Amino acid sequence: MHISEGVLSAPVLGAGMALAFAGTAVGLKKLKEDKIPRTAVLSAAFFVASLIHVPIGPSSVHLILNGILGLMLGWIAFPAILIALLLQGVLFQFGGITTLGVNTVIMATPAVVCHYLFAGFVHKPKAISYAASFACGFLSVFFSSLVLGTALMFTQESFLAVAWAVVIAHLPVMFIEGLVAIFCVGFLKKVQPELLPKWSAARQQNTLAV
Amino acid sequence: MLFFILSGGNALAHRVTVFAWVEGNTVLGEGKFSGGKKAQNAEIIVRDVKGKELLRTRTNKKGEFSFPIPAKTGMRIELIAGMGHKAEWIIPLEDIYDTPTIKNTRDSGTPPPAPPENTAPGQAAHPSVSIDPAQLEAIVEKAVTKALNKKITPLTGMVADLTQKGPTIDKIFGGIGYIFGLMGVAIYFSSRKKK
Repeated sequence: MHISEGVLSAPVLGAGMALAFAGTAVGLKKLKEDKIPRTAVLSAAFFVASLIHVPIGPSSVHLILNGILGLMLGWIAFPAILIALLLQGVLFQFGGITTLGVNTVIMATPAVVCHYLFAGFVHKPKAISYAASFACGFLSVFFSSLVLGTALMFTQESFLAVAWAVVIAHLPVMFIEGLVAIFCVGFLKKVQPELLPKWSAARQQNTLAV
Repeated sequence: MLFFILSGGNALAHRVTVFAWVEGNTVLGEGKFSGGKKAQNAEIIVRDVKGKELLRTRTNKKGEFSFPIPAKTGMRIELIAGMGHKAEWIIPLEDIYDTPTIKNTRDSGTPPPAPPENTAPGQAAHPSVSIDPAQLEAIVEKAVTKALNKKITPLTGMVADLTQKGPTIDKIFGGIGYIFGLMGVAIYFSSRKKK
């Protein structure tokens, strides 16, 4: 998912930076004090997740975790991912400084989309909540692959071929991410449901129903 | 396009590295992804210092490649693994300049030692005196080069492994520490705002 330096042309890099900047601005505005520790913990999780290689078949894949980040943080996923990617770039030479904007957009935009798609279902009964979590983890990687394909489209590689290849390559990760998301949501629901999004709204509904 | 699909499995890691060195008249090298996977069938583009393309090749199944030195200039070797993965390695001019001269002495060194043995049966009584200094120098140089190559080849491999090493524990914890430090700064500022 990390695009290396020197692959993309300047306009694409510029557009990526502008979008990442806008997303981060929105995210920082929404970052209230009580959410700061949670953001930091998830940002750290994202930072480490891409080091976990899962050997599957002939290739080894790594976790991305942007679905969980988006589900729990919404727009704040932008600054969280930006910081984690910056540190990955500086410390591990994953991605790069010039491609920081593009890479942030690739991984944070699907996170925000998944938040709006699935956050409402988390506090529903078990089956629905688990299905939504799986879809969240699965689709966030899927959308990321599409955005990655779009970014590469402008450098002579045709969109369909690239996007298709990226999606195929990430299929195993999608399933793993879906399962990880189910595990996280299931655990948090039992232990600390107030950490999950839309908790107050769900609690009101429950008290009304009772 | 087929190449991207074929190499799809490889391109999952986040970083690809390429490492190359000169041996005699050829350039050898290898490409690796972070996590230790070899970069199979990745495209290699060799350019000179000014960016002019000199030649293209591909890595084999072991992620290795080799090509004869195309010109006496510094070279920039680009490895393109698809899906936005790319790496570079630079071979400076000095590296290339050195080896052909050794190669030349090696080449010109091989024939001279042979003739004396064949053509000098009459001088067999004192052969050690008949070796002229230039020939001796060539023989010694050849032997030294051979021995050095033997010693250096494993070292080259070690350096290649080192440059392609994945993230270390201290960097990982350093990164996590940075993030929590930032959290502290953010909380500090937001608590000051309240007062």
